[in-house]
Amino acid sequence: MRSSLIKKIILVLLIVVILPIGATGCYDRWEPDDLAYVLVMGFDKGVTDKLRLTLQIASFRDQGEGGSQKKGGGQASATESVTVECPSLFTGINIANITTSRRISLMHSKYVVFSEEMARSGDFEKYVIDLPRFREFRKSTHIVISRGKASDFIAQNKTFLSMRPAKAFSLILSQQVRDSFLPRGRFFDLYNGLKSDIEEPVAILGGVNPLKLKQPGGGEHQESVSGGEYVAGEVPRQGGVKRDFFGAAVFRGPKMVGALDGEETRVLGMVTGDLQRGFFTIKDPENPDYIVALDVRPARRTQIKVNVKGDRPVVDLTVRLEGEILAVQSGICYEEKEKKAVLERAFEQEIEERMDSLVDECQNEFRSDIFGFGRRAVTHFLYEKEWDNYNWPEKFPTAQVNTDVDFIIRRTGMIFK
Amino acid sequence: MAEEKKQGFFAKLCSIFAYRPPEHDTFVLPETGDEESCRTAPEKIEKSDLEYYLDQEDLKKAAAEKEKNEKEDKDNVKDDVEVGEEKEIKNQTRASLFRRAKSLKKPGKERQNAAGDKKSESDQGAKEETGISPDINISRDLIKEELNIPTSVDVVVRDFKLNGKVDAFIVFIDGMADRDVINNFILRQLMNRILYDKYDGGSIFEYIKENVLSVNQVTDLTDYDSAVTQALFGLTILFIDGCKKCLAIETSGFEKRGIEKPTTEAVIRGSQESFTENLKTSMIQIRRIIKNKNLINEFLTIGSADRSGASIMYIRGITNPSLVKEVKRRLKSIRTDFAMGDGAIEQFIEDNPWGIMPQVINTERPDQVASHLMQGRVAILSESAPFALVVPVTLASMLSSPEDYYLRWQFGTFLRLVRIFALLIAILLPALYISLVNFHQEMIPTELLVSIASSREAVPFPSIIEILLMEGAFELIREAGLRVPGIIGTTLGIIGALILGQAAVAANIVSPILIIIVAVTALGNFAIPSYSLAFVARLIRFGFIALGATLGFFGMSAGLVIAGALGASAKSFGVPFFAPFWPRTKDSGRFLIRYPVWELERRADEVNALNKIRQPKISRGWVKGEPPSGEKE
Amino acid sequence: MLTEGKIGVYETICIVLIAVTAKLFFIDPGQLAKLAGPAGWLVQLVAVPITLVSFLFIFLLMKRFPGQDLVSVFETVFGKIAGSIISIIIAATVVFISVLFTREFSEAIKAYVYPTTPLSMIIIFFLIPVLILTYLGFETIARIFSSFVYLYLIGIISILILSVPLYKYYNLFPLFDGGIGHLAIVGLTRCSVYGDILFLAVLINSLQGIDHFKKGGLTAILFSGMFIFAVLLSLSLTFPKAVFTELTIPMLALTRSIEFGTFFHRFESIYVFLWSISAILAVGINLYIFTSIYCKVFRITDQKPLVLPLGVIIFSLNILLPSSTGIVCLLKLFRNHSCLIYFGMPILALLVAAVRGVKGIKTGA
Repeated sequence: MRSSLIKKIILVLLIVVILPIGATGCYDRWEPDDLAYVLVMGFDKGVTDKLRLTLQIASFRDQGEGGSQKKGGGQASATESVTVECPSLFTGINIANITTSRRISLMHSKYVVFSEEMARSGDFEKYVIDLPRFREFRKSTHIVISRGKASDFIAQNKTFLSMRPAKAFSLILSQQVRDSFLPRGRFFDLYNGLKSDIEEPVAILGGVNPLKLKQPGGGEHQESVSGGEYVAGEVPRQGGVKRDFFGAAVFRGPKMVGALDGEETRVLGMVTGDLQRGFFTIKDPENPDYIVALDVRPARRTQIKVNVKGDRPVVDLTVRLEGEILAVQSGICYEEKEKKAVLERAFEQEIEERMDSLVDECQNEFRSDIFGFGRRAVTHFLYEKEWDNYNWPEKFPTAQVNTDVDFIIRRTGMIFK
Repeated sequence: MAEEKKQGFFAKLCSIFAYRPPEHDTFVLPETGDEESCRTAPEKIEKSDLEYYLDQEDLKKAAAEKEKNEKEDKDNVKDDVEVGEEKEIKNQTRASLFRRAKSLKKPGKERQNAAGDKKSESDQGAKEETGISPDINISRDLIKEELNIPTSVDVVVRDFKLNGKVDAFIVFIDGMADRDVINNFILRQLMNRILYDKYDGGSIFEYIKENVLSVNQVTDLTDYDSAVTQALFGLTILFIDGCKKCLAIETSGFEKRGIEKPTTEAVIRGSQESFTENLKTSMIQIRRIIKNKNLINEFLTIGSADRSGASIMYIRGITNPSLVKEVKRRLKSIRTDFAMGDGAIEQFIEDNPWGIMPQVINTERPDQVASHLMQGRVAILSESAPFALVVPVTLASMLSSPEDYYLRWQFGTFLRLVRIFALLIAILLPALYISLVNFHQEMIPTELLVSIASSREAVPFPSIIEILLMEGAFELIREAGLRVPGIIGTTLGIIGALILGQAAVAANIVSPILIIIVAVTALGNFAIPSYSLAFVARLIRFGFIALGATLGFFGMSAGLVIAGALGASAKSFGVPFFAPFWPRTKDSGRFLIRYPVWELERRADEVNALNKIRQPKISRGWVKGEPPSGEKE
Repeated sequence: MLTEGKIGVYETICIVLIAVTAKLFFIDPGQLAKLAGPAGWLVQLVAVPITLVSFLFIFLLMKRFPGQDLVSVFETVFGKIAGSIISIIIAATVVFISVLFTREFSEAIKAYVYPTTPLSMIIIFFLIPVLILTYLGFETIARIFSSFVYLYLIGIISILILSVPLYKYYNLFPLFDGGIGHLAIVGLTRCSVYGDILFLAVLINSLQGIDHFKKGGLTAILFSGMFIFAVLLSLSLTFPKAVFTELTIPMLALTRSIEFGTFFHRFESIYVFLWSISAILAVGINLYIFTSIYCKVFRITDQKPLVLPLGVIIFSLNILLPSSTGIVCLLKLFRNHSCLIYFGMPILALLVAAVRGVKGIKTGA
């Protein structure tokens, strides 16, 4: 009796003591400082091997000294990057481990950058479809297509205003959605688009901006009307970091077929519902020398009706917007009922035109249903075979799209004449 | 032992796991019958009830025993488990007094022989009817021997003559008995001849009891055993020549501590008194709160050598009689020489000594005990410890503090939720931390993770060692803070923790975030109202740390299931530990929410009280009544 | 006989609910998606009525023999030896399903959080609480189930609600995928998922009477049906068919996709608690049912000595199983055809009893 009691107690103690000590060498235990957290991954076509992989890793260096201020703008290295040539991402990680002396972990990656060259070739698919198989990769990561090389893009991918790269990188893409010059470029959006035939994917377009504004009088230039007709890398700005996000990359199946500028991306956002709010500028309908600025939000969810009965699918697209007047340079009293209607019609017409041209571009040039009209078309089918026979990707370019934009000015800002 | 030596190591290891059937039946608290009938005619518990109960037990055991060994002595059935030899020794102790009483009567030489053939006599001894000898000399000798006079200096035997004729003596313990009472109301009265004027030659014993002694409480005793016991409790025992009885006169009065503020269960609102080491004071404190004629207070002695007293309190008509019987059965069955206050009693009567969950509530507050009594629980007060035990216990009752009921229900509920949160923190927080940083790094926000990593850069140990170091240091501070005398103790805790933490961080032994984790855990632990429950949290925390460090959240889930299963199977006096949450009763919400007092219509369901109704549906009578019409101005 | 204690309708529902729905958290929905595409939720509309009808037959059988549990019913109907053999077949199925479930869970959690931890270590850590549950007996199991169900419901409902922004109604289309007839056939086999309802017939003496059996069983089937329906619907709403069918553990993928504001994301690890506790409980009740049948067949009065050998057996069988792809095949087999044993045997018994005219002795009033 007594000896078995002591045995029991010893056994319990042994278990409690040995477990944690044994666990110190335990298989999947990683101390947080034994890992290197990749924030951004870049994929380029390789020179000596198939792939050139660039990893931007959060550095621990500046974090410890919290308040220490380093002057010199982009000089601070809150991140460090490694570029390796490798046959696949996973081998690349293994190779990069040697440099970092810590195990590389992708679990905190914020976005993945592919070079445009790669996206336009068939290689893109090879690397994309295997990413979700890897447990550390998260499907909510953003996908960026960089005009130019991904490694150059990452080299310019620095923090601005703060020394916390993780926060900066996660904020920039999630907050940009609000201003809507960017599409909703999550990995799973892209992946779902790749895998299914009801929509085609878009991705965020990135680029390296030379940060040089043109000198006055330096040659011809077209005046921008809406202010968003640029693609990444060409946005006229100075200061800040060179890394640029603007516009969208359009895919047809696994291949990139073209790019949308910022303005087109906003119009796309109106259709897909990604646009949350945006400041729009149009020409004053009464006095074309002046402009009117409007704060525009979607009033209701966009209505898309697809009729698949006929030979050609017919798409009825109704976009309902509402807004607020921000600026009226001409001083015309658009608060009045009649004038208000004039402004509303003008804006509607403007958006309709842009939308029509975007649809036209997608149907004829890209042949890619980035609007997701197929999502509505599929609801008319009950059986898989019927839908497969219908062959939406082939039907989309032939579709007749009727756009209708409805705009109401709700408020007039802080001034009411 | 010889057998065990033959076994190999593996066999020994297996023997630890080997299944052994339980040695005793588990006690199940029976449901009480129809409420209404209970209310009108509460079951009457008589003294014989207990005997009946015990007899039943004995008969059952005897029946089982008969199959094995028909020749077993019926008197010894209770001691059935012991081996033959042990049994005899017990019989000897039981019979020793009687035997000595007998041997004293014999001439000196025979007395010595008697010791020689104890064995032969032992069987007779138990059955022999012995009372107090009418011969006062025998009594005096016997008492002197029993109480070790003159070796023991504080025992006083005072001889005198009643009415100048009859020999008598009193025996008491100096210091335990009140001298004033003995001088003024016993000796003076007994030796006052005027008082014997009306004595008409009847029983002098009865005459004295009725006419002479002016002391409030006297009891007849018929055997030496109880006489000695009573004397040890501070009573004065009067022996009279020619009487087969002796008289125990209540004179106890000794130095004791006054009533003070509760130290371990302080509250802001509510009663500010705690128990003292004196059993009688404690009983009075409870009785002062519950002035109910049905508050029963039964007295038992536990411990064969120290004869410490214990008192069982319950309310007849509310408490389930089976519970009372079971408590008495367990207390009476304790065979030990020295029961060290309530802590030892707790360990003697708890259901499962292997279970880590506390099975008895331990409180120093009379109001807490009173409220438990009114719920239908049984309190055990013991001498020499300022704590009362209350059974049965549930997790809910351990998490509730008297403060809950002094505050308004919204505040009380909030406090209760805070305490549940504190319990969870105290058990799980370090394990959660270790799982997060070692296995589930993706859950930590990136910025925080990077700063944890960079602060850990200079720390050479793995997180598990860090956390064990810090937890160990905190346990040390806590234990040391208790031992260091006076006010320094409390300050040592705080200063020690601060300085140690700061220095450990500065020396790069631990990372700063870990200090926060360990400190919050310690805070959570202090917020648990029950000391024993807090201890449980302190212990199983290490188990969870081990599991969390081995397999992260999965290991912790395994631990949670094990802890839950062990807790769910734990019972305290037949009441499941997690009641009323598991198994569910009508008022399971009571676990989380402290209902408003006017809603508390029923007593706790799991105690199976006889009378489950505390108050009618409408307890606030004024709700239905008319407010008095105000005076018009 | 075993002392099993008494449970109420509430505990009954909890036990069946968790035992039935815990399968959802692992490879099961993905397998279903391969069969029925995005129409897995519609399949439940077939499976649940079939289960209800089967349960009705079991109920009729149990009603015919009041006061007897399934094992003794089999013995009365088929005779002692044949009846015992049938009970043992059911018990063996239960054990095999537990083995597969254990392995399925271990593989899933290994794939997800512990890629380098040896499988045996995970299985041991999984089996220890399971065996402790089995050791402590039915009353404890019932209590744990009835309390864990709160966390379980909170967990699942939180997943369903937090993933609302991910729902895209067009992912449900084409609605009937491979055709209604095909879905009906899938539904017919999918009622195996609800086979755990048979446990109630084994434990019928712990339920308070045949009415509780009926009430508890029906409610439990409906509840778990609703649950599976809701979870499959939300999975179908979130993932397009092409993605859904390729997921190993769809529920994990769903929780990984949840993102709510800038702070509430990447918290799928917290659901490890949910996955593992529900798997432990589900396997725990399965093993307890095995010990219960075993004890009843061989007239053993205490299940405790069985526990350790049982654990060794489960562990060794787990190690014997080949790679995870082999497990998937076996699981497919059992998840789709165990209804033949779970529902087939009692219905067979009912037929035989009706033909032979065997009836139970009415006890008391």
